[in-house]
Amino acid sequence: MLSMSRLTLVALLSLYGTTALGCPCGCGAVNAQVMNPGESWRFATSVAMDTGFETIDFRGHASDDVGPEVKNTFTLGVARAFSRDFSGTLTLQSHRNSHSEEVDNYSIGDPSVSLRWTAYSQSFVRPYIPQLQVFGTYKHPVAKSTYDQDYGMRQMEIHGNGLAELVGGVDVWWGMDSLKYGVTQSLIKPLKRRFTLDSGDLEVDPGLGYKTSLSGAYNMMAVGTVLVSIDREAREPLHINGVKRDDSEILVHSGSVMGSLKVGFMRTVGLTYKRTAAFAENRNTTRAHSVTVSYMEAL
Amino acid sequence: MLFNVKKIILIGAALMMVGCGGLDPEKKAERDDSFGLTCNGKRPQPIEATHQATSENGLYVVSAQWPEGLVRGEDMVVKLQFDRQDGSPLSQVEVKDFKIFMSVHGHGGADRDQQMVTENGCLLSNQVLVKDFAFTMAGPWELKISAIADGEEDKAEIKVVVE
Repeated sequence: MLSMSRLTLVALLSLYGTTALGCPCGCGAVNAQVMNPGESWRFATSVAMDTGFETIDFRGHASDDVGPEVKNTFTLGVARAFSRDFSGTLTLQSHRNSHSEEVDNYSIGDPSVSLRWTAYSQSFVRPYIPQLQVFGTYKHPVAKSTYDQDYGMRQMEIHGNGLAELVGGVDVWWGMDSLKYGVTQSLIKPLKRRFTLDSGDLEVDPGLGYKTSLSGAYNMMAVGTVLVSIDREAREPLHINGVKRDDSEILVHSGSVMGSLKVGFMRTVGLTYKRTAAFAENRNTTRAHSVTVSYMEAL
Repeated sequence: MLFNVKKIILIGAALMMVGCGGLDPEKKAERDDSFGLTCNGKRPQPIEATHQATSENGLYVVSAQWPEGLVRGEDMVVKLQFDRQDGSPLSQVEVKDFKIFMSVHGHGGADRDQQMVTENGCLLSNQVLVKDFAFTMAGPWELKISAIADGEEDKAEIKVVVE
């Protein structure tokens, strides 16, 4: 039998997407939630607050960011089980950018559609064999990005990375004991896009992205779980109008700590602290503190 | 006698004013300076460039000077100077386009009311002042310049690093 607390935790964790192109607040694709056996629907919602932004340049040097001082992201995810091993998730987001010298700016975020398939379920008979899941996600660009024009000095109107993204990944977990651990590997393919600007067309073709997440958790039966996770996300160089841009590779090492608490039958609340660009080398990205409160309920 | 002196002075002043209109911008700027009216009483000078690039077809070398520094998140001012590759100044330059771009991220700068000043009493005829544009973040940026020099248009790109 699968560990439900483990799955709940991963489902909450999946509310956070890829970092992507220097935008730390839900700009990337959001992967599919994990559904427990017997569940038909799963609803997850979260509110995130990102603060303390710093720009990390191509040399890894950090400097204060001139953009919004606070970014809030509201996320709503709805997952549906199509079969015991196959489910899909629709994730919608809205964003608010705030700055003490500017009027708050609101926008709908980029929606994501995701599928998850359990290729192998873990069992107590052979607990050393991990659960293996495969997932795929498509994110559609809706929100304004830095590639658009008229975004102003404080970049208050920027709420997305401006690109459609395809994400494919493998999720491997050992979750039979109180101490659980796993690894998730994703391949991110942003799609080439042409922007028509007053100054001429701009064709943006970002490189492939690779994201690795290592997670470990301790579960207290019927109470909750504490999970620690570290991520490494790397992106190959950017091409602009067909020309490869030197020094445009992205590298982000992030860390997060999350606690989840059972508050009822198939109801869970979570609190997460995440630090993007937290350790090791980081390039062409944004460093920030992120605190997220989440709630999930299954039917 | 007194009337004649006044008349001569007035006629002389009028001739000077008419004469000013016919001067080329460089000489006019020098003249304005001689009256201490502009440029803080100093003559326009060749710039002390911190950044420089040669245009794609070699028509000119463009140099940049940042009177108020090179910083992010503020309205910027840059003085550009156009010379031939041998170092001699071009007599007349028309800047057709100026924009900033951060190619490592693939985006431009903030939209401000960018202005281009070609004559303010403190500019030589081969100099242009561009103001009110902004770098939105630290890192490497390019100044993309298109200018007509000696009747031909050419493009140049000056690379800067904003801290």
